Amino acid sequence: MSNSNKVKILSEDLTNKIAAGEVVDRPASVVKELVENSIDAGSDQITVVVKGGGKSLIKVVDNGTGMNREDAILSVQRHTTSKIATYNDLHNIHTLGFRGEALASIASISRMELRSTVHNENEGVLIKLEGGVVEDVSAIADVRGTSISVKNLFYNTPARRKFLKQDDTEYRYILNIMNRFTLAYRDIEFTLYNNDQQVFDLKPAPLEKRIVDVLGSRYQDKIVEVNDNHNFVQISGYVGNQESAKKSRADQYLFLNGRYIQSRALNHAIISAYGTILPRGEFPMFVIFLEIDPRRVDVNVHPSKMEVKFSDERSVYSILRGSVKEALSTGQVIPAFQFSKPEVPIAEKPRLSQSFQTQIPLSVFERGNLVEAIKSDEPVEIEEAEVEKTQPVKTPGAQKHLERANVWQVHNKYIISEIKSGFIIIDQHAAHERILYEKALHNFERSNPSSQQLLFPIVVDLNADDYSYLMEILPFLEKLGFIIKGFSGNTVVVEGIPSDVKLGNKENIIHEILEDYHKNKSTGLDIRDNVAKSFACKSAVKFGKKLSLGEMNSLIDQLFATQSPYFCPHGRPVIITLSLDELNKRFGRT
Amino acid sequence: MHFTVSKSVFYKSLQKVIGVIPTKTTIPILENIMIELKDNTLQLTGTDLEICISTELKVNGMENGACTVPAKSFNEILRELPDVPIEISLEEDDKFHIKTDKGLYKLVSQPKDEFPSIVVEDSEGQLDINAQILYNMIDKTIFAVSTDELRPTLMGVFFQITSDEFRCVSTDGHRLVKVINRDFKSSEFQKSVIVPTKALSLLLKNLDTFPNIEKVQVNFSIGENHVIFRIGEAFVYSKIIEGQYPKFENVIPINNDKKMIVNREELMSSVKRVSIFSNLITHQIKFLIDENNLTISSEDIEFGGEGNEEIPINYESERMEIGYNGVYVLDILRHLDTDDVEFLLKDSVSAAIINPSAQKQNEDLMMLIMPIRIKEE
Ligand SMILES: Nc1ncnc2c1ncn2[C@@H]1O[C@H](COP(=O)(O)OP(=O)(O)OP(=O)(O)O)[C@@H](O)[C@H]1O
Ligand SMILES: [Mg+2]
Repeated sequence: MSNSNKVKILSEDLTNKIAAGEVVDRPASVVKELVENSIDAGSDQITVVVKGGGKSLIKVVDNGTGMNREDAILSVQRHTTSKIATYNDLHNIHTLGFRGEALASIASISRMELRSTVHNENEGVLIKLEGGVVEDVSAIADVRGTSISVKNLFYNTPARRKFLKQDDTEYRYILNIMNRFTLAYRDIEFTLYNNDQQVFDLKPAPLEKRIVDVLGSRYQDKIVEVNDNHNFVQISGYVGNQESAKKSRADQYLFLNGRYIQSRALNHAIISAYGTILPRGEFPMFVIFLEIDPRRVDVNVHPSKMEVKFSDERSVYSILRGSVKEALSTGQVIPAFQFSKPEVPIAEKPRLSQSFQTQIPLSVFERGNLVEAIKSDEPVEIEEAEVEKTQPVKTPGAQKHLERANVWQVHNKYIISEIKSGFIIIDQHAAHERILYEKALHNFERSNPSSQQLLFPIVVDLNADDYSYLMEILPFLEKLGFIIKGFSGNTVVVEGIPSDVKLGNKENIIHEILEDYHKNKSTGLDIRDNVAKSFACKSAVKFGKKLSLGEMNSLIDQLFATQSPYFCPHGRPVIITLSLDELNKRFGRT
Repeated sequence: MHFTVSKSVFYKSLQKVIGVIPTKTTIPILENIMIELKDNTLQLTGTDLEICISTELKVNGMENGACTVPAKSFNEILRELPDVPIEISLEEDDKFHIKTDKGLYKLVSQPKDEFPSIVVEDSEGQLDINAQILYNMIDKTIFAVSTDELRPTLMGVFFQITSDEFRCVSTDGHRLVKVINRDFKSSEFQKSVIVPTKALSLLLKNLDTFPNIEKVQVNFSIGENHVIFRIGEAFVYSKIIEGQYPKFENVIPINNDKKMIVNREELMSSVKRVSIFSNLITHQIKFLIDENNLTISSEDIEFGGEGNEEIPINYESERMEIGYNGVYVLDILRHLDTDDVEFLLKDSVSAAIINPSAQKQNEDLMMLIMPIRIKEE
């Protein structure tokens, strides 16, 4: 007989300090609260049963400590919890729950049955509630643990019920919630049933296996481990390599002290660790756990408990970014390219690693525009670009242009080059596009474009529309090295072209740039980006053009001197790496 | 077909034709060379359908006949053989036998009638020109042609025949070469054609084989859409490039009044050295032209290299700074042969004219280069 009741009513004063608000807004949040309670109760087996997207039934069964009769009755009251007692506890939360609110809230909008049996007791308790009102309390014989079933969610609040989505959508929310738990608590066996069908039965497993079990086999062998200990923060988990990147952020999980959290800043820290190896619009998978002394974080920000305040967010940001970066490079996700003829130092190599090893851009914070940087949702490329610019590799007289003999062109489309660990395949057009794109963006900032003057100026007839577009982008084209003069009406004359571009198609280039510009414009692309993209696309060597050895070498050199050699401005890959390991594997040599 | 010939004689003749054989073609027969024996004269012909080259040599004929054989293998076996007499015969089974005292080699032949025959339309006119003169004119222009397939008319040398001048012009839009020969009369016909670069470089190869080229005459005939260069019994036939050659006369400046005279070799070696440090793509170098002093410099902003040299010049006008593509400058200097060259300049954005310090007799050679505008703000 347990005589020490654990669940207590919080003082009103303390209650007021707890972030209040709606705890339950959809079936998934019921699942979340119930499973959290089960985890807090020290269970190692949790079964979740849902029906009708959780609208008709949610049942969570655990084998945790259970509650005695009094505790159980108290637990469904508002502001009752066993997890905190004093104001100070609020700053040192080790459990997922702490508000003492969840069960009461859920009970008030459903028909609930709570069964609980304390370990080693032969009698348990069953409480039946309707709309939060206790209808019946009885004794039952049950095994250890707690089972709570929630039926007819929102039956008494039809307005909220109306806001629920279709069953399968609600079910997906639930699944999503379950993923967070199954990834975070690998020591717990989780079982999920949906409409009487078993969805999964996840036995305790190491994280690597859980990730594959939960998020899919696409991540098999495509993730690298992150593990880093700093005095006040421990970081562990896995991040995906670029091959496994997705077009959505669906597979991004960040946990703080076992709690799933959402933090734009920390997400950004992780994404930016990838530098530019990921194209725009592609997102890496990550499952990252932060362990921080609970006193240094505040989870009591929002009733959802998903928002966190760090006492030192800046340090957490930089440590997290650094750890992920390190993991990516040791995991060879950010490949350290080394061509297999290392006798001559390759100019781009130090540049490349330099740009990847660039220290965390704390300047972002110093300038106080973290929010801006994060809002943009883009890696903090600018910072790295600046570092690059201020430290150009001055190798006076050095042989910048390494003649690699082991370079081949296939089908006049792809360049194959041997590297130390295997070989790379480069899409020649995409590579040149990347080079020209970055150069264009760079040139916009500088003011000394050089233009090859043309012996036969090109007369370009435009329609009124194109003419107005041309006027719009003319300053940018001039920065690139075009010299375009008005002629008469909508006719212009091109007298000079960028000297670094072998324009095969001088006659049409203006038309083509305008057409592309026009097309991109409708997608809301920034004007610089747009002009740079259009220019790069239309001026790059064509797919199918024969290149000399010198041209190929120069293309490779320049490509690796770019900020983001792996993707063309449109986000398509530029380089595919085939490692010797992979080849060996395919030839059955392992 | 059956004949004997010395390897060296045969091999040398084959070299005149082999260059036209396409390496990649969808028509396999074009990889073959046609061999035709009439009495003691053997004719070798190759074509890529645009260009056709034929040459003749003397052999000891035993039995007339004709066939085609894979040019590459044939050329390779001849190359590897020592200079020995070889006996060639076409056997019943269409096997092409090459016999020497070392052994016997067999090639699979294809019948002659599968080989495309070039239908030569009538010529509109023709003229004879000294091979040495023609060689020089082509050699001086061919380097400046364009390789841009989107501007096909620039992918050849423009031949202009007027009543008393024979001109060759080439340009890629960034530089231009014009060479005029005045030791010339063509009262019968005047005509202009664009001849593809490949045909001309094959013609040069052909002419290279003559030890006394100055004594050789080339018969140049022009038809509606073809040209033929005949050297004795050998000929180079080529389709011409259709289209309008750009009006180059209009863009050649006449009022470039700033004259710089510089030693060609000296300038060439300076440009070569400085160019090592220029940007690999733009090859951009800078001329700082000052009174009697030229500073050539380059800077690769991306990779950080720099080069700088000064050489004495003859120049009395105002100081000027002009950017050039170093490769273009070198190309031009290489194709001039006087000790000094003269640059006629206007400003940093207009065409510069580069001339030999002295013209050959009856010849007028002019080269032109467009600068790279370097915008300094
Ligand atoms: N599955 C369970 N096993 C054992 N005890 C439970 C279980 N679920 C709830 N309890 C007890 O009931 C109390 C109230 O739960 P409830 O979820 O309402 O609040 P909480 O978890 O303390 O805080 P929060 O509102 O943040 O979830 C808990 O403090 C806990 O003591
Ligand atoms: Mg709870």
